[in-house]
Amino acid sequence: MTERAPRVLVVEDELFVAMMIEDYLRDLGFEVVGPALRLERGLALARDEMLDFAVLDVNLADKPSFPIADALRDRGVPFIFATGYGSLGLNDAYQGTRTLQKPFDLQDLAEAIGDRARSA
Amino acid sequence: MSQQDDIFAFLAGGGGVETLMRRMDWSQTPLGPVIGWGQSLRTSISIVLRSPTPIVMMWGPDAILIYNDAYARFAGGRHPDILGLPARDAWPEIADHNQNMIDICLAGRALSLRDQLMMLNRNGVAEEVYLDLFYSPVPDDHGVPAGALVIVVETTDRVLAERRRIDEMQRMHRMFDQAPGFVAILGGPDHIFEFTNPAYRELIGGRDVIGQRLADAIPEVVAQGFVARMNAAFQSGEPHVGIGTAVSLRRDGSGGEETRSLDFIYQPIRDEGDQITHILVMGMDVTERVRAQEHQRFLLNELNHRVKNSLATVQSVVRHTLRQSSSLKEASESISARILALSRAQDVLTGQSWAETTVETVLRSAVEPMGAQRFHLNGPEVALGRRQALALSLAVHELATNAVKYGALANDDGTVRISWGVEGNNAPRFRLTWLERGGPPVCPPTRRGFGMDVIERGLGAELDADVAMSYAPEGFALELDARLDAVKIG
Repeated sequence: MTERAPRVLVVEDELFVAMMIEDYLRDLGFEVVGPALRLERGLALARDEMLDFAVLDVNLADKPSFPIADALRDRGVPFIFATGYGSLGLNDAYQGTRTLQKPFDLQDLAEAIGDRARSA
Repeated sequence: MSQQDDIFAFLAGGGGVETLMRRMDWSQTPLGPVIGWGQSLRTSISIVLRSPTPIVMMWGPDAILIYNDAYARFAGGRHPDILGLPARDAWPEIADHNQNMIDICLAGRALSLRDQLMMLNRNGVAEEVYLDLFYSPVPDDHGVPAGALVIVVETTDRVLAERRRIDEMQRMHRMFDQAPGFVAILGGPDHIFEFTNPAYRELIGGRDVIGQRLADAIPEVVAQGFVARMNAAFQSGEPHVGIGTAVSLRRDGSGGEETRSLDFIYQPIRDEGDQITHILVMGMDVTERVRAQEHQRFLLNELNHRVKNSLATVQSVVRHTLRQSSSLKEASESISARILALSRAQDVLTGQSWAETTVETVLRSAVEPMGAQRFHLNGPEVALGRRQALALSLAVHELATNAVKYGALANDDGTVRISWGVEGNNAPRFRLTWLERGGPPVCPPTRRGFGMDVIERGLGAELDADVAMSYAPEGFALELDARLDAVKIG
C-alpha cells in the first residue's frame, strides 16, 4: 500500500451534487479527479487518468454514463453509481452494481465505497 | 253403381277435387264429355290427383286447368272457380307467361324455373309470390304433346327469409362501416376474409383482402402469433381478447412495418347448428392512448429524478453553507436565501417547460429580490439550457448578495451593469460581463466562500466557461467567456 491518497473520479451532472460528493470524498481522505459534468469529459478522464475508484451519475444531461462504466470496467477500476432514478435506470450489464440513491450522505458514500477503493 | 260403370273411376283418391270433378258438366268445357277423354288424359289426371305435391295440368290448345288438392290450397280463393277454366281466364295476371310455357310444352320441351317471381291475386289482393316451376309435356294417345304438367313449389317464405337475411347482413355491414372501431369477418378454418370495414382497411394499410386467407392477406401477423390465436378461437369457441396488444403491420407500400397497439376481440360465430363458421374481429386502435400512458410514466420518472436531484442540491447547499458560516444566524439566512434562489430558478424553468429559457429571464428573476432598479441589463436573446440556467441563477444570486454586502449595492448610489452578447460566427462564444460601479472602495475578499465556489466552479463547469474576476478599487468586475453551444445544451 502506498502513502498517496486514492484517486477517485467523480462524474455527476448536477453541479451542487458534484461539489458535495467532492467535499465528502476529500473528507474521507480521497483525491478527487474531476468532477466531470458531461459524458465526453468523464470518458476522457476515465481513460487517461490514474484512478483507484469512481462515482458515476447514471444520467448525464440525458445521456447514460454507461460508456464511462465500460471504460472503467475495461481498466479494472471499481465504481459505484449515484442516481435519482433508482436501479430502474440501470441497464442489464450493470444491474448488480452498487447504487446510491440521491440524496445520500457521507455515511452512505463511505459505506458504499467500503474497502473497494482502499484496496487499490 | 259398379266400378266398371263409373266413368269417373280414374279420379279415385282425388280428395276434394275428385268430388268437384264428378259434379262438373264437362260437356260445357272444351274438353267435352268425360266419356270422350283419351286414355292418356285420364292416366295423367289420375297421377295428378293422387300427388301430395301441388300439380296442375294444362290440357289442349285452350290449356284447361285440372289440378289436385295441394294445388287447390296454393290457389287460395281462386279455387274452385278455376277448375276446368282455360289458363288465360284462370290466371289472367300471368296469361302471357302461361301461354309461353304451354307453347314450349306443346313443342315437346320441358322447362324448370327457380324462384320465379309472380304477382298473383289469390285472395283478393295482388301479392308477390316466388315459385319453383317444373314444366313437362304430356302426350296424347297418339304420342303427340297435348298438354303441360306443371309442378308448383312455392318458395316465397324461403326467398323472403333469404332476402331478410341479406338485408340484415347489409344493414350490419352498413353499421360496421360507420363504426369507429375496426371490424372484419373471416369465414372457415382457413380464416378467409368476407368483410372488412373502412377502419380495418385503414389499419392494414388499405390492402384488399376479401376472399383471401388471413395468412396470405396479412402475412406479417403469422410470426406474431395472430393466426394461431384465431385458430384457437375457431377450434375452442372461446373468444380471444387482447388489451393494448402490440402488432406490427405493413401500412404503406414500402414494406416497412409500423407497430400499433390494439384492444381487440376474436369472437367465434356459430350457425343454427351450433357449428363455428366465422370469426368476428372487432377492436380499437389504442396506440395514442398507450403512448400517452408511456409518456406519463416517463414524466413521473423524470419528475422523481428531478425532485431527488433538487433535494440533493439543497443538501449540498446546506452543507457548504454550514461549513463556511461563522454563526448559526448567518448560516440560517444564507441557506434560506440560497434555497429561495434555487426555487426562483426552478420557477423560471417551469414557466418554460423545464427545457430551455433565456439569459435575460434568468438574470431578471435572480436580481429581482435585490431591487431591480439598481441593475442595468443589456443583451440579446440567448437561449439557456436547464442546468446552465440553474448555475447562472445561483451564481448571479451569489454575486448580487456579495454586491449588497461588500460591493456596489452596499451604499445607495452604486449600480451593477450586466451586459452579454454572442461573438464570432465559427464556434461562436457567449460573453457576459458583470460590472459594479459607484459603490464603496473595493477590497479583495480574504477567504473563499461558497459563493465563489458557485461562481467559479458552477459557471466554469456548467457553462464550460473561463471566468475572470477583478477587484479594482472602483468596483468589482467579472467576465465570463463560454462556448455558445455549451450554454444551450440542457
